[in-house]
Amino acid sequence: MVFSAGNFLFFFLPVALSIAFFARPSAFRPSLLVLSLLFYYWSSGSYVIILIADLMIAYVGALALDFCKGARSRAAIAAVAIALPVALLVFFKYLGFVAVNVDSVAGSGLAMKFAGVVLPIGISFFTFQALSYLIDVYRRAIPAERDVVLFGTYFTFFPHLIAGPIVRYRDVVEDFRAPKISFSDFSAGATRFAHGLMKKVIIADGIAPIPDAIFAAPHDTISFATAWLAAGTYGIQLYFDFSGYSDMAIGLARMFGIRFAENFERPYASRSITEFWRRWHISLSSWFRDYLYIPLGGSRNGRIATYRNLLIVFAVTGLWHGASWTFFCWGMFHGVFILAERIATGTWPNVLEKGWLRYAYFLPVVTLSWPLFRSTSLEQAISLWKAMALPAAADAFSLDAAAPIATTSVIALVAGAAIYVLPGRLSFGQLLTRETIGDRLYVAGACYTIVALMVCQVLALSGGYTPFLYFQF
Amino acid sequence: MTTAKKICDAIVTAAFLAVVTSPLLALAVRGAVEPYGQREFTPFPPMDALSTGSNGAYDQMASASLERSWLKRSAISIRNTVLLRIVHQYDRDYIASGKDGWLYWKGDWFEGQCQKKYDVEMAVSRMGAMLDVAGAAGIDMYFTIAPDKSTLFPEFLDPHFRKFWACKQQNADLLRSTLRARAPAVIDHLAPLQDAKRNPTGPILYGKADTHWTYFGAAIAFRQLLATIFPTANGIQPPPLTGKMTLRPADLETIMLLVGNGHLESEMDIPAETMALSSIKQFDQAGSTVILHDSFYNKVIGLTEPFRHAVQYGLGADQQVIMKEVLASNRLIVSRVERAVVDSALTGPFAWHSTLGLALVARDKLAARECKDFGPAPSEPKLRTMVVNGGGYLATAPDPQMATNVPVLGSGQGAPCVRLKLTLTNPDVFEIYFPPHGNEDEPFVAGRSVQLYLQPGDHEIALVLPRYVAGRTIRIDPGDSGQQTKVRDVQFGWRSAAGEAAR
Repeated sequence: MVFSAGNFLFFFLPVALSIAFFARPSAFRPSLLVLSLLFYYWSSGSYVIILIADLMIAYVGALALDFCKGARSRAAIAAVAIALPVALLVFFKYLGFVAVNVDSVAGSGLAMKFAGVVLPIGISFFTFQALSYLIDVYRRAIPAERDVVLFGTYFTFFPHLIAGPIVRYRDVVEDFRAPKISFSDFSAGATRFAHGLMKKVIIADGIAPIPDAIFAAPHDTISFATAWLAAGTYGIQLYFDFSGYSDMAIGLARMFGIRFAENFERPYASRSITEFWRRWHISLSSWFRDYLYIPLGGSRNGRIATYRNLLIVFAVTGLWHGASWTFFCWGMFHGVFILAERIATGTWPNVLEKGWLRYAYFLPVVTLSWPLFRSTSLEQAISLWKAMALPAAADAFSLDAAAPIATTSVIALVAGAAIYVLPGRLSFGQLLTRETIGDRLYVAGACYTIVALMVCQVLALSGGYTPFLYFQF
Repeated sequence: MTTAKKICDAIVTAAFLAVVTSPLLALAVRGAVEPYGQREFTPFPPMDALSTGSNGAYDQMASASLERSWLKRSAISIRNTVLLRIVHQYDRDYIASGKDGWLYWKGDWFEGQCQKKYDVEMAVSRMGAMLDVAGAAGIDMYFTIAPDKSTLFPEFLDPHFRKFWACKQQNADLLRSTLRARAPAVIDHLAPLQDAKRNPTGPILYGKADTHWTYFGAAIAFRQLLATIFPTANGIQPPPLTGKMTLRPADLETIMLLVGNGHLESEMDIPAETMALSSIKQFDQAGSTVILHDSFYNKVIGLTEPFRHAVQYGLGADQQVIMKEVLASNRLIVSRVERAVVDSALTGPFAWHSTLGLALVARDKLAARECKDFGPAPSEPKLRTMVVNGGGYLATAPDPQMATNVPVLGSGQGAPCVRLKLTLTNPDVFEIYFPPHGNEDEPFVAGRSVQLYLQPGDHEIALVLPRYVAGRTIRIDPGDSGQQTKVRDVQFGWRSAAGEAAR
């Protein structure tokens, strides 16, 4: 069940809102917990057991960490408590991939044994939440939560449950402990939700047919122009799809009085890949920074160690997105460019500081990375790269593999670019999130929200199901 | 916070709550709407599925509720109207727009796939075989094909949706070339409609927003059929018009729930057309005519005046009724739209296991009661993976075949007959292949056969064979479980020409 589907918007959500708001204050958290479990059960059926298992491992593990005082026993408890959810993640997400690769070398027939294993929705997200909580308790950054309902409500809270953002317990625990639902919070949440819904159903879904058609076309029909068009439009689609989902999650949470941190900060306005990762999927990149990069030593042990740590982090980031060589290479691609930017810093003074240079450096580089993310095999990505590298080839500017592009896709692309990719001052999305705007803009935002809601109601009610791209992770 | 902002918050909150709750509220207040868009509503899941949380039960419940809401119906209507009338591009499950507001049924295009030559040849061969079996059984049978809208009007196809219709022309050409080669008796309505289309000021032949032809297009097609049945009917004037325009709802617009459904269409003078055609009635010798058709021939049904007695049924009508009518009829007209021809012949209503196929075989068996003078084949059959065993023939491996000569008929002998004595231990499909109409040396082709669906036990089956197979070779295939099927005897006889005429 996705947030943009009619079944969620017009069936689950009204029921959830009425139960949560009409429940007595003491029943608020239990009702949210039950609703969230129902939400996951609705989406994933019996895999709800995995969610509950992770929840209980994190809860009990943290209590045990709090209870034990000895460093060794605490380390042992932490290792076990962390290993269990990681083992579940590895079993469901990576064993099949490992088996396929073992098969390709040894021909053992191992892959067949894992062919029936289905990835539980959102397992990468909730596993990382469990890990961050356990590590924070282990580091004594936070005390273990004793109220199982409170912890369960946080852990399973349906707005972030299946496609993020990765919400850390320490950031939201006070909101869950004493939820303050106000009229203005609800309104701000509704505005943010409508904004995200627009991003998804109008822009991301509108653009999708362009890259879908090109990526589905035979490799030899893809020209220089269509290859760049595919990569560029896919990058825009992915951004609007995922940031739209994040907006909806943030908006939904706020309606219930919970404030999530931002997950995107206009990533295409970056001037470098390094900056991009400060703006793109912030909850994930900051998670890797705090729980992998820094524990590996960060940048404290010299240049070579720093470069090694960076490459490890980006290899894992790639694999987090999916168990395949394409995602691994995508992560490494970003890692290598971040490395190159680090090396260039100082020797190439201030060159990336000029805003316009993002059009010459950052945008082409990030666009080059998307074929790896979208392709179903490395061969497909490489053939697309080959086409992207051949502007002088015959028919280089033929758009046959993409053309003709539907009017709705063109409208979506233009609207997306115009509304959201423009410089920050003109970005409407940014404006909506600002708390201190004047009355006129506030009224304009309200009008936009109402129109957006009506348009989205028509599209969501009349349309079919289109999954979010980040659901596969 | 300023008052203006507070008011905005209140309005946004109210709007949000209204948007998310209104579909179910509309259902609660207005009740369920009638089914729309040519689909059945999703049924509500049983209570036990909800209580046990069976896979998909909650989604089913939500879909079932929302589909019945007036608001969902309205949302579909608004979306489709905007896409077609403002964006001028519409592409959903079944329908895609063309140029200038034309709409096409996407089923015409097989999702952009080119049809397989083997499938088309087999389907058309089967139709040819059915015509032959019907003729042998004493039924004057006609297959007619209504052209797809996109075959007749390809100029309005939208290049944006080329991925869907890329193979359309190739599929249409393949079907027609196969018809010419393997079943030339099938009546294809394309040519007269193309002739009529060449008149730029003539009435429109297919509804712009409808899958089907207009009454005028239907009349042109029907006249072609009549000219084939009654050659004397050739040369009557074109279908008359009243000079008025009529606003008619169009099926595709109805499915799309478009706001402002309806298109102006030249009104055909149906009474005048009926009157003109009634002059043909004097030539009709058939006692009864049965018309089995799909939605295209709905517009023809009002024009069946030339037939002395005509009944019509949809292809999906009650099986017993169709069986009864086919057994009693003298003339059988079966019509199908182009896109459905191949599937109909392979697995649908033109297959031998369909009501039509079973009825034709039953009718042939009835006719075979008049066969006489059965005797052995003029020469020993040629066997493949079969052996002579205990006075009969037994298969030794899968795909057994027995090629045997049909005796030459003497004067006064109307049609050859075959009588088979069989013993089956398993249900099986017994197949008799006819040679192609043309050259004696041409091989048997897939589909050019009659299939008999048989249950275990002893059988004695007699069939009248098409006249042209006399003196030629037929092939008898005992079916895939041939090793359990024993062909105890194969004999040939004949049915008199007088017996045929009496039918």
